[in-house]
Amino acid sequence: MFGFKFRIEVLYFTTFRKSTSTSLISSYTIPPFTTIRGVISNALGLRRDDLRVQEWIKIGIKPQNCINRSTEMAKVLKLKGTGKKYQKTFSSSPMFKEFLVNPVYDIYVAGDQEKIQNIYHALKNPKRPLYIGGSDELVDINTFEPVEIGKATSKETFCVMDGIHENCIIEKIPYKFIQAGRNFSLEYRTVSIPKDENFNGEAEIFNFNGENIFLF
Amino acid sequence: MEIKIPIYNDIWMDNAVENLYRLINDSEEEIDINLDKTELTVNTNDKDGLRGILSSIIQNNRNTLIVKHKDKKTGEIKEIKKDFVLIQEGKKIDGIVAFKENIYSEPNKSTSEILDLIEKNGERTCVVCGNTFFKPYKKLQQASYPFVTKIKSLSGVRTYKDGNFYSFREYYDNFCPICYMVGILEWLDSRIIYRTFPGDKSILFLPYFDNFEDLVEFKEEYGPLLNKSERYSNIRVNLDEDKTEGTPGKFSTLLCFYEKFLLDIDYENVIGRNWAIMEVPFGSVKNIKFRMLNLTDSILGVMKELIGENEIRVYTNLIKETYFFIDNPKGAPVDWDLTRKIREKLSESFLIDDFRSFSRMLLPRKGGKVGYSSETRRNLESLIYIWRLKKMGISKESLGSIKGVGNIVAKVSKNNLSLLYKLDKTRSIEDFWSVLREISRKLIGIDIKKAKVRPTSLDELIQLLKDNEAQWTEIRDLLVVYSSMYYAIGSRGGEKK
Ligand SMILES: [Zn+2]
Repeated sequence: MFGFKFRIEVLYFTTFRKSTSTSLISSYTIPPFTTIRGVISNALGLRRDDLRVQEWIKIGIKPQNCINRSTEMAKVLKLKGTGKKYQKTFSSSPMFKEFLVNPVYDIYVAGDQEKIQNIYHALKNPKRPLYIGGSDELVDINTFEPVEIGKATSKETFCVMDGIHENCIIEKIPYKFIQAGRNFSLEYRTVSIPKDENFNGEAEIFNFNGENIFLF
Repeated sequence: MEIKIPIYNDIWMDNAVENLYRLINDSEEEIDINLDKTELTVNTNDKDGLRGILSSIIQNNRNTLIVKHKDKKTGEIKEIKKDFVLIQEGKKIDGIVAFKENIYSEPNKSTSEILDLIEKNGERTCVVCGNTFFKPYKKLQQASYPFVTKIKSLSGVRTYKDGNFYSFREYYDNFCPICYMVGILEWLDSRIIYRTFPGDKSILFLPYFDNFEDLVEFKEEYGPLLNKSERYSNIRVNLDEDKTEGTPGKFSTLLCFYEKFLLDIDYENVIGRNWAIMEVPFGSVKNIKFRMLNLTDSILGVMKELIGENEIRVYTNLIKETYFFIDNPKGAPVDWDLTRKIREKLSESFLIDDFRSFSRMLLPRKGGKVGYSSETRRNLESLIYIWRLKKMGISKESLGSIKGVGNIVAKVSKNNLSLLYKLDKTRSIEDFWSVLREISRKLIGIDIKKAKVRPTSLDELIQLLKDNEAQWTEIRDLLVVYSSMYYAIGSRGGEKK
């Protein structure tokens, strides 16, 4: 298997909205897997609803800084009309919104060599401007050279892990879209986001150039 | 049939699972139900029996959703839906609340339909739990999950329709009957702590754990502290009384809860310290506010120590006994509005372990000053000792120096508060030195004997600061507290009997 790491730095603020929060806007601590695949699909110039990236890669995540959260009152526009005609005005509703302050994540992707090479080049020269969270939340991406990866001998790691572990932030994160006709549904994964301690668990860990990473 | 509900890691839903478990358990019906760390399992061959249990717990606990109000003129008893309960209400019939939610208006029929749906397998994926199901019983709505409201722009997946324009598939329908039932019944949870400010908002507190076992234990422990039949607040003033506390805000409510918990409850090992605080506004649009509050072990430790060794309750014996007195030659009336604000802010600063902000609340302000009785002052000194000094390793003698200088600052500030404000605003140790120098100059101007100050305390403080440069902010904050304290004592009307 091949893989590489890229670092996503959100330039100012962003929100990874929990899809079931609509009477307020609350944010996940890390970008959901679906969001990361979205960034990659965007870099590759794929069309809307093209979910192929889901089949191509496995993903690992490591938060790089302490995630600071804050809140604001946001004016959320309500959707009107059918989309067939140009709409000039929208009604709005004030809503409590959480946002993250300048978060930085290392993202690890793994898959077969050709796909990984393609994604690597796409992230270096994206087909469209890259953002994460809100469509006006631009990101700075730093890519590292692809390497061959294999199972790690040591199980010690500091990254987002599957399931529930102690001393972590536990979140249920969107993992995959499942399309049936014109309907989409979401598959979730429960993950543990480490706060300050290394794990030394039972899980299968991969070695990315010396870094031990769990892949989803 | 077997129903398995894994932990959601969602504050509302996990409390709801625990609540369902407790309701069924308390009903003492024969049923195989088990809640372990991460899953609730209900096992039965008797679906009709389960339906019976569910509908009877709904009927028997309906009182959790309402309060009874006696009309002063007619003597008639009317039901009022609690202000924060997000279930729609129809027109009252004979003073009885009519819920526009079938599970509450027709529990028998509704639970039967829900159980039928749960039994079937299907292909749809639930947006809340992620499991597959056959058909929804009801759409995802705020009544069953308070974090949603009907806002189209946030509740769907945009997609192409006919390759031309965007259509919009909403996912309110992707809500499984198990999640519906669990979520909608959480309103029957008598262990939600609440405080309602009429016309403004209600604040709800839900404890958070990453496993069900601790959640069950903690909620079970604190249950007796709450009285669900009061409309505006449910923390009992005393364990054996119905009367409830009228705390001024959210942090004071939580602080008040903890001191009662630590003093009145024989808790075992589990003390929750993570809370979700939800604010539900009055009015028709119920966009809620939400925050998590994670108390530190050290603040819990301070509360325990104060209660254990000194029987001092931070809220009741200190913050609730703090007043803002208006400077008034004809006596010292209390500014109640500001007093409530100060009490709330003091509670907040303490709970989030922010001594700086705590100390600033005690500063005199335009038109008056913060005051308290001598007993309250002793409690404040005990709090400061346990909360700050013990940890810093500052000796009692050093505290004497800080207090001595505090006394000087209070005396020289008598007719001019600018020095005290300047002290509070120092942003660097250099600023702090320069304020101390100003204090030393002012010393010359006062009659030391008459003012009962001890000038050597200033030398001592300067030495203390030199030895503990890294902790200068802490020393500054302590000096602010003691200066404010002596200022209050020294001013007329400052000391309350
Ligand atoms: Zn569900």
